[in-house]
Amino acid sequence: MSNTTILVVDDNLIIRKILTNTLEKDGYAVVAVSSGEDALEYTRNGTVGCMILDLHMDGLSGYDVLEHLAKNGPEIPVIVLSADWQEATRKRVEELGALGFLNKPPNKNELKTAIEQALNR
Amino acid sequence: MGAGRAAASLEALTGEYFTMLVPEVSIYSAEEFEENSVYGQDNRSIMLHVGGDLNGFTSMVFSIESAKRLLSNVLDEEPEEEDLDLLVESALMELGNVVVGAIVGVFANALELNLEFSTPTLLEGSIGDLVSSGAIGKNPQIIVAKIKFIDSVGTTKGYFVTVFDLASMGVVIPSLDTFLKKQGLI
Repeated sequence: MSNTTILVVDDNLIIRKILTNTLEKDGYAVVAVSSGEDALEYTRNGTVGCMILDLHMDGLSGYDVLEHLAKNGPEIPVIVLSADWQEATRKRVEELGALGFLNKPPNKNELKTAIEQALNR
Repeated sequence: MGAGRAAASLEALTGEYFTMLVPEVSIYSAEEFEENSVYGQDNRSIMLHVGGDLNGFTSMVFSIESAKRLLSNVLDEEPEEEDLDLLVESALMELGNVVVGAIVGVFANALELNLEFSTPTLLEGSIGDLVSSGAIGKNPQIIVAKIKFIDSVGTTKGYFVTVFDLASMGVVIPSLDTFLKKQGLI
């Protein structure tokens, strides 16, 4: 599997569809999952070039996923995509090791730039 | 605060132009609020609990028609009939999520509050029912901020409603005072 696979993690079906459609049109391989648990499971078995991660999810939240990756690996560049505009939220996810933070709905150009930065690290 | 950003987010999702009107702020008992709530057969309400420095919830009342417009805007093909309800529900949740996140997030930034949100859920029944159920305390006096949003021809497209217990005002008022002083407004 290519290491440019983008793992989309969001509990909302519409967001998963929007991101999958958009990124596949740009030529990326995309895997979309609906929970933090499924995301961590996928990172154990698949090669991920970049993760796009929602924060507020039932079960394991985006914060939990970031903490888990920081402690246990694997090292994956993570772009958090959240509807939460609080500066405190942005600061917290940066402290937890996220490479980027974008607000929903994502601007296509900003998203593409953030993904290119993540994949070219 | 945040209404412009919320309107821009809605426009990006639905392809429709929105304007948010100046909020109406009122204090109600649960019974009074029931009479004043906004709800309709063709509307659905999405609710998020807000915790942290404040206690309450926010809700967005939105038309199913707008959710369908969002679907047609973001999907390349017509969804299968059996998927439609699930997709409309997801669209409504996401509309609620982005509007609440923008309005409440900007409000929290300005007042230097730290707020936590639940995941959005579809509200069964009315907002008044939720208040009456004791979700934010027994027989609460509540403060309600209601923002109506309209499209380019002035048609009401939905409401954003935020409901906090009065104790939360003990946090908001000093923070608001500090904010206004910093802005040189008082």
